[in-house]
Amino acid sequence: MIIVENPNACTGCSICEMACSFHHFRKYSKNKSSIKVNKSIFNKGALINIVYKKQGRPGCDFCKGEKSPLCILFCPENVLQQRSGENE
Amino acid sequence: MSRSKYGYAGKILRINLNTKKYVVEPTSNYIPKYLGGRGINQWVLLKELKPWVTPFEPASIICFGAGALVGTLVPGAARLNVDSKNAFTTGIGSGNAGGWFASELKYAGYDNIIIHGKSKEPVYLWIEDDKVSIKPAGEIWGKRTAETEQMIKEELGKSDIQVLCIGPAGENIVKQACIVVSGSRIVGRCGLGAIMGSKNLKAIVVRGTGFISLKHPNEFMDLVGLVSQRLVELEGAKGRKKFGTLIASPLFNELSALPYKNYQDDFIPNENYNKISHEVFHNLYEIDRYSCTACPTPCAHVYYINSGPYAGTKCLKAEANSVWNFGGKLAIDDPSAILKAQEECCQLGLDIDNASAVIAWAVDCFQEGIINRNDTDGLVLNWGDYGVVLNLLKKMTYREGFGNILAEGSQKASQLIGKESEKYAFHIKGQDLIEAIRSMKGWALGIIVSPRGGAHTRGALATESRRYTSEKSQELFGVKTAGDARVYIGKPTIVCYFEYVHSLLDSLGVCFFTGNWNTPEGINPTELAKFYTLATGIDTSEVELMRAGERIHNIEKLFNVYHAGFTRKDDYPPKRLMEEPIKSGPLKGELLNRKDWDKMLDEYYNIHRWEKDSSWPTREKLEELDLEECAHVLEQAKRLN
Repeated sequence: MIIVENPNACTGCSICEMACSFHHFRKYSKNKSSIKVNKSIFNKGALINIVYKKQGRPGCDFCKGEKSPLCILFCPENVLQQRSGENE
Repeated sequence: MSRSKYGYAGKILRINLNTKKYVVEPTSNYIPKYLGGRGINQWVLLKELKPWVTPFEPASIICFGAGALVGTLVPGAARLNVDSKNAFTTGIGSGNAGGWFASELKYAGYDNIIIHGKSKEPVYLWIEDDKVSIKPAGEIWGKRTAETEQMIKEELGKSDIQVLCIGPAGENIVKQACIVVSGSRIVGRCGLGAIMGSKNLKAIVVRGTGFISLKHPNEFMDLVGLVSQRLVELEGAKGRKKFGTLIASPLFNELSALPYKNYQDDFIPNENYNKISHEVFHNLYEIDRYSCTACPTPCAHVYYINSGPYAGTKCLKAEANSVWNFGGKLAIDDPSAILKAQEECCQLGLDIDNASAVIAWAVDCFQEGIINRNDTDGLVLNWGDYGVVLNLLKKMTYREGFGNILAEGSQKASQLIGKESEKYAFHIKGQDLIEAIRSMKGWALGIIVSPRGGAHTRGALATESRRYTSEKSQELFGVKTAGDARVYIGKPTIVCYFEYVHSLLDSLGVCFFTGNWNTPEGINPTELAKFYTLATGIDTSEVELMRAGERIHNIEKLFNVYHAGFTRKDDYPPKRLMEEPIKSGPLKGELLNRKDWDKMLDEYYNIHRWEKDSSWPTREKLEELDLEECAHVLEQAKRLN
């Protein structure tokens, strides 16, 4: 599964959300993504939520067909990591 | 004309605040010729805004544009350009901010918003994908910016929306009023917040859930990966990531290029500077950082003051400008007071640059005995007195007493005060000068000829403060002098190059820190052309894109000719900066020599193929840029002037 390793390092750039939508649709969106980042300039760190089953947003399939999960590949702050887990 | 449904959102929203109606037109009416963002905004203004309309009239127009690459993963493609008539100069008013608003606007389906007319009562604009509504803003009118954003979120019952708004300064049509985007990113200069205020438009709020499509998605994403990897490794990016743009302050002070006490000098004494260095802010106050949409090299930091008179203040952004404005021009050497002033401006909706500049003028006049406590509502104006500065910021915002004069900017304020106070008003085309310009000649040229009335966000070079080698300079620009601050020769060539680059970046919506302004390893026009073609499917090249950049810069220049009648005489630095040398610092003794300036201007106009005496674009140049339909602008300007 995708682990939020270091949420305090997240700067809220949305790159993971957009990379995720790119995987699913070959288009960019912040909303049509398995990953949702809530970063407020008023609070340190971020709340990062990843959905694994389709629920208004596409479910994370660990970037099936890509060389590696795009959210991890493109995150400039190494916030996310992939680990073996029950969802995988 | 090529048309594309890729890259762009595809629609432009036109709002009429008189009638509360809106219409949608296709972006394809304007592309690829005007690219997007600033290019579309300024073309609309040149075509539709009549020169006799003053900035705050209902007939004035204000345009908001998300660039062509915004909403994609091009690093730094987060920028929103805002354009209208300049509140200070009556020429072009143009500003640009990052944040998360511009991408949200594109996901909602719109590339640009064009606002006509004036609402009778305060309103805000609410865009939720296809749904557009104009909502009453009576409850939020008068509120500071963070509170405004919070109240709108509560009213709409949504937290995942993006807000740009004005503070009380904009509502009171204070010329220093800015537009605050996403809570902390600022469309600063030119009085654009006051233009929104004059229209009774408190905020624009957007929620977008759609997509931006790409013509060649896989190749586009491959290029994003390559470029991003390169950018995050750059030393400049690492420095900004750690210190923000504050990292630039020492580079400037080492070249006698930070204004001190209203240009009495261009060097902050070391004992003062050391108290307000980038390390001080980083070590003592920084608590968090954040980034604009799609930026892998963020420069935004959050600061918190935990002791002293301003304990408990959270400052959502500080820039190199904060140091040179409050630390330099006003000689404040308490970093917590600088952060407090910065945050107060953000909450009141004041641009730190123009606001601090006019206060510096007032302090200088007070110290020289030109004004006294009878003029200043009893206040004593001393250098470094931050309590008084905070008081004056509030007075300006609410146009109270002496603040009502300050709210006009130093040019107009000095005309109102008279008594030789003009001598202490440093402005360009009527808007306050904010940078120190005597030591770096290319930096100076780019700032002074900038059509938006000063500012280093047009042709001003970063190559001097970054000390490019002569070999690198030759390779990049065909001249050897890019890195040599004191040299005039060769600088016009580089200024013209960056004027075109900035037009491109502002129109494509890319930050100039991820672009190649700050470092040659940034995203260059060749890569921008590749991104543009892969995104939109519209074939272009570096040469074609730079020509579009030149076209957009000429549109901006034409707006100034048409609306303000500026000529060559308006392209000179303030007289004192050509007569009084810098008093201290490593480049002590430097000034702007008038003869050398004349030569630079001749060469600069020659490269643009603008007419030397008037500075205006020639008819031939307009034809070359496919702008022949604007020739009437020149004819009419001759009659009007």
